[in-house]
Amino acid sequence: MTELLSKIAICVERGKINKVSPYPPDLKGQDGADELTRAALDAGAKPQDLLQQALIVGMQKIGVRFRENKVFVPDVLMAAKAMSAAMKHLKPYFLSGEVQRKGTFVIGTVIGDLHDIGKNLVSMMVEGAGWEVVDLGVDVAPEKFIKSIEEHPGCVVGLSALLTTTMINMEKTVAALKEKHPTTKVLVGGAPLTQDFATKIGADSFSADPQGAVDYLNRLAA
Amino acid sequence: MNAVTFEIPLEALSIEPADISAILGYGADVPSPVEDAIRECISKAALMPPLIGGYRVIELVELASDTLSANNVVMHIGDTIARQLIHTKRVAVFACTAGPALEKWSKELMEQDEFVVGYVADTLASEAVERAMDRIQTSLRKERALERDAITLRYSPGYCGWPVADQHALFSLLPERFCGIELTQSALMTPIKSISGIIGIGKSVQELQYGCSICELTTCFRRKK
Repeated sequence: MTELLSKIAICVERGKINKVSPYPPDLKGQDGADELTRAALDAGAKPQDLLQQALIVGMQKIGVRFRENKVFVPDVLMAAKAMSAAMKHLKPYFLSGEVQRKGTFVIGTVIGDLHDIGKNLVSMMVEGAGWEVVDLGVDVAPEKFIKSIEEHPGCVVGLSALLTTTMINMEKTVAALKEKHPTTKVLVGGAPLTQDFATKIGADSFSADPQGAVDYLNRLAA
Repeated sequence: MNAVTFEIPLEALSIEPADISAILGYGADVPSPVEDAIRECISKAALMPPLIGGYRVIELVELASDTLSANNVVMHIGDTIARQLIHTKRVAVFACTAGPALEKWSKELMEQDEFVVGYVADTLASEAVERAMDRIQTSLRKERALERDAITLRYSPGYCGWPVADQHALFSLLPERFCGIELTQSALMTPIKSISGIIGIGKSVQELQYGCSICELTTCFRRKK
């Protein structure tokens, strides 16, 4: 079983979605994350082990390689698609509670900002790290974040902004969240942000890349 | 002066698949799904409406150490850009957009889990709008040369210490909904794949060396280490 889980992790890391997907060429014609996950479940693998020892491992590896500039955004997106193909087999176990996620991560691009690619990348990596992701989309008002915090007690919130003008809205959003829910952890990210800015606005953490967000969340879950 | 606009079809921009793969970070070894996505996006974008851009030349310009006033509209360009615009006597205020079609398609693809194609479409739109503006800038350079004027490089709010919030001041110098571009309250242009800014004009201006070394945005993802 360990070998099968390792194979799934490799499929996720390398973006091998299913048998018909021709990429990567050296795995052409072989089962991908889709078929191998089904096979592992049919062979009696525990869904929790599949998540922990296959999907999370694959996404962690691609995340680290991305941080090290060894792969690029499309490689991460291919991995995310392979992960998604495997994840659909685990959905029933998430719903039944048989598979426990590490927690809930509520994410959105702050009000006034319509950029979503960075946010989506973080969402994919965090989901691949075993968290439930609630994506509120772009141009999200503080009230919507607050409502989501109330719907998902104990969640961690991620705020994204790409413009210097919307960084100001991020400050207002953090203030509104902290006023209403002072213990909720808030993680911020986006191209113009710095650790100094994150500290100044009262955010609990700043991450310059998706893997940094995953590392922070995993520390919280530990 | 009245505003001038141009419609530029994607084919006119000579964007090759290798150009996009290089922007994505790849060298000679491009994964086949990425290559396929690039070709698909270039073919699809060629069928979409052309890019639109243009400019308006403003005659009444006052350049100070960190501001530029045009038609009594003050823009806080910062001292870095002000130095680049030295000897500017008039400015071309410009805007250019890839339009909403490619952006909409990219979003739809992302929603359908077609992440790679969606991301490539987004990257293609960014590159196309810059190249379209390059062509418009070339046209401006030729037009001004007839008057024995030179032009500077182009500078945009959000870079080199020029606050993005000044988009409102900049767009007040252009006709309403110029090229179909609108500003949100937070100064974001929609369609998102749009660029705007100013180009200095004068007998003695120069296209001064410009790059990361003079830019203060240390967190920029395009910054060269």
